[in-house]
Amino acid sequence: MWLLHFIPDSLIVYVINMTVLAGIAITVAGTFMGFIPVVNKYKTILHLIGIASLVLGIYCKGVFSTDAAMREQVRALEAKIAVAEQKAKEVNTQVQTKIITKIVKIQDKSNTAKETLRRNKDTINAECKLTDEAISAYNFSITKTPATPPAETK
Amino acid sequence: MRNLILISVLLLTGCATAIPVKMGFPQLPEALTKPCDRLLPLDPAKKQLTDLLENTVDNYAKAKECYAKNQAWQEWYDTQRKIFEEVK
Repeated sequence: MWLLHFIPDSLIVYVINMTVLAGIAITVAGTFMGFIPVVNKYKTILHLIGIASLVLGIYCKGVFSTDAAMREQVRALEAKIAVAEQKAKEVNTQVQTKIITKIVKIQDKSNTAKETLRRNKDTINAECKLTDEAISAYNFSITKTPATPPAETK
Repeated sequence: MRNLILISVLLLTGCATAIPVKMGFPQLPEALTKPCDRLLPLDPAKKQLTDLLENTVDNYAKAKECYAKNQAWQEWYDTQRKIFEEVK
């Protein structure tokens, strides 16, 4: 079937149409031939040839039109997919830019906060020192280990 | 009648073919391929309040980044789904 793709569509359509028309013509001719006494013995043979040509022509017409419709569908779908893939790439770029911008802003804010803490280190630390229990309780809340909560201070 | 059935069957043989076109799965943006950073525990040797606060600020930043990534994931998924559904 793929060999047909090398032949121009117009030529294929022409051949198919000719086969159908020839089938009709031969069948009709065979029917009329039945009324002529000398040649009426060829009626059956002409009918057979005509119907075979008609069936072959209609079959090929069906196959060709289905194939053409499918090729058209494939072309349309490929075009849609190309557009969708382009859109998907654009979305990816947008999402990537957006997330990187957000992360940079978050890090900037974090750095500013840490700088402020460092600048005011002496004032902040003047009245408070962390105990081991405080550190242990804090770490317990953010890590998987230790598995058990820290011991309470008495 | 028999001939008609035969012709119909012959014509139908050309119809049962699937369209040989496939759409590739969209790539995830690189920033979303990395998992969220884990929160950092405080070094037990660091006993000053500023150490705790710095650690907390770092961890807040990590949590915010993770939240932003999660939002980006949802946005990416919703948009890609819409694009995919437009093709059908």
